[in-house]
Amino acid sequence: MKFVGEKLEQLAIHDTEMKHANLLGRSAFNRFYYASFLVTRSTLAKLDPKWKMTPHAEIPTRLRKTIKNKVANVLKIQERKGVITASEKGRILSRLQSSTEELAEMLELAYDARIIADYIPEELIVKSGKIITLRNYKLTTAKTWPDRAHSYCKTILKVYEEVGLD
Amino acid sequence: MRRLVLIKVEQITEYPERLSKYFVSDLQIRPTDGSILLYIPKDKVSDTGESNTVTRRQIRGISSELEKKYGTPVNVVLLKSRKIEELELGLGHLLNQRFNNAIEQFYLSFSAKSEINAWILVPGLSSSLKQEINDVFGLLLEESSLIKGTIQWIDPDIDLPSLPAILKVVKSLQPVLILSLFQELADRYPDTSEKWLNSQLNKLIKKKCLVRDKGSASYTLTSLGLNIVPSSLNRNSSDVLRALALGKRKWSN
Repeated sequence: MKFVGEKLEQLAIHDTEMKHANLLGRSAFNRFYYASFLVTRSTLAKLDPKWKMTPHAEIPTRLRKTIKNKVANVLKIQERKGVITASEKGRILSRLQSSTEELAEMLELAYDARIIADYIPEELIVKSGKIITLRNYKLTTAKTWPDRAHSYCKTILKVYEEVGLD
Repeated sequence: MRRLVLIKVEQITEYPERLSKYFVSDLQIRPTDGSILLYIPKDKVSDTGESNTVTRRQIRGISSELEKKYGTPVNVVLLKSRKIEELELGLGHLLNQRFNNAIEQFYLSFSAKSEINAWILVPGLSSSLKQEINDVFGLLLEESSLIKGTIQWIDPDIDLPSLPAILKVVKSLQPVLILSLFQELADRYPDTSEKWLNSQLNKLIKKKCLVRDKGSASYTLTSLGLNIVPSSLNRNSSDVLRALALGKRKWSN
């Protein structure tokens, strides 16, 4: 999906017909959002099979609350039993929290851009050289969403592994 | 099917005056579900209520107030500042210049305490290169009067297993000899050595999570160790892995 997004971006940059560039650019935003959404959802399914079909709107809460609480509970037991120290617990939680928060915020931004691209056709793409923008969103930034999602997900998986949950 | 009636931006009387105190830079109505969207620059959000910022708690408060008043959900979109995007781009270029384009991915975020957190991917990263990048990155931030938070090294193969992760593998294979345990862990953690593993096992014995049988030299979890290993629902759950390992042992005998 990321590949399709990148192809659409290139087509949008090089198409001199603004009507076509607008349609191609909007579709690229959509593809980049879905690529990052799917990366996140497949990570959630690895963490808990019940989370496999988590809807778009619920993902930020799952990342910010459910995952954090689950890991925090396990760490609390491990600290109480003396397997990890309080500072190790803090360090692990802070790593988890920065990744879940970044991912949740990024998906909220990406979802917003995707809704504008798909449902508000009167807001047009603006092209300035190789930079394509839709409202406040740059396509060059959108292009990094899937890899960013992948990186944050890897950290989350690593924390799960470190605490013995995966 | 019930038609969704959308509220209009002009009906939100709190916007823009009152909401400007919360640094709301834009307000929109989402066409798909009619929710109110509040756009707030992320660098204006803090956890502790520093001056010239809004706290997450205050944002939750105003969101729930608007939800009740207008009978529609309120969603907040935190806008990443151009400053952090430019910093990310600049520091990424500098590090790649210094380390011969070794860095494949480089992302930054400001934490609540105004620290800079980083996510860095360097394929085939050695521990010495990791230390070097860490030092140079720290220096660059220091030169710019920025505070270094945590670095998340994205490649998962470079670290050593944690004590809970070792306990989990012991649980699935127990009673287990150190060599079998090492072979199992080395696949996932290539940096693991038998000597290092032995020291970790001794730590776990001291913490009363493991026992070592003097005769067979095999390791087994104590009830305390068993209580520490979490039981999850995923395919790598310690209970599932234990059942699979027992099955494998039975059929290979």
